[in-house]
Amino acid sequence: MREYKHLVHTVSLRVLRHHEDAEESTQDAFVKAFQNLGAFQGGSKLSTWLYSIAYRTAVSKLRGRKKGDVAPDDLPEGALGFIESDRNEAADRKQALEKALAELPEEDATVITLFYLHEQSIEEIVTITGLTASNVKVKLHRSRKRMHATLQVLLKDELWTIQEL
Amino acid sequence: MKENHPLRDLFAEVGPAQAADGLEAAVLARLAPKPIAKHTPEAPFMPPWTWGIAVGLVAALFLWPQSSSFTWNMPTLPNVAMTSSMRWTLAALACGALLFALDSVLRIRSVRTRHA
Repeated sequence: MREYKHLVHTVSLRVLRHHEDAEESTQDAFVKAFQNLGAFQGGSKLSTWLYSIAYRTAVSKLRGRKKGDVAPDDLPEGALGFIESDRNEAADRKQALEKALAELPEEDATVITLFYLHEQSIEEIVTITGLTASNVKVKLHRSRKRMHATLQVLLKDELWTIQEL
Repeated sequence: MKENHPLRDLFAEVGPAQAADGLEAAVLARLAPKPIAKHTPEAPFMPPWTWGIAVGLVAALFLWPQSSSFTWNMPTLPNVAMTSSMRWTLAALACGALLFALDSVLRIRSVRTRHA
């Protein structure tokens, strides 16, 4: 659990975009995983199986949440203006990434996070999300383009690092 | 599609969101078996055997003087057939039944309250 808790939490957070809800959903996901550990056949990686439970739990929670009932956490403050400040460069890059992800639909943000952060393959993302492979590819392509546009504005000083998006 | 990619580098640099420190404890607490309420029936206000003794004594009082040649100085009770239809007898029996029912109800309620 220690090994996967942050990654599972990230999946929940990408879907729910609310820290408290994501904490609760992460807990639910681990409880479900423990309770159904016997059902894990080893046909996929343990991480894929866990992300799948986390994703479905979070989506189910998102559906159960009434629209407008809980506001998503605030986006990184300053949006486009914070790069000009003297703040830590790493923190700026983190905020830029969060901002770029926040501008994507929940599903797209989750797919691209699974692909780049969790290093899941297309097939594994299909298993986790239940989307088709072509749908995952389309979402990845679309998300990359949108993130490129956002990051280009936010990280203009470092444009060279993301030119090849 | 897993070539080095600036976006992958950015994700790797930023890393995953941090889950709460107490996550493991919270999950383990939820997985821990909940203590099952132990069923310890409370002793009834009147033990069941006292009812038996009471019934036996009353029956003896009615029956003994008629079937025995003892000449103890005991009050002579009227016979059962005569007294059983008297309103005092009926009222006493009704009171006994009521007390028995009350005792049973209170016992059942006390058990339910402990398990709620």
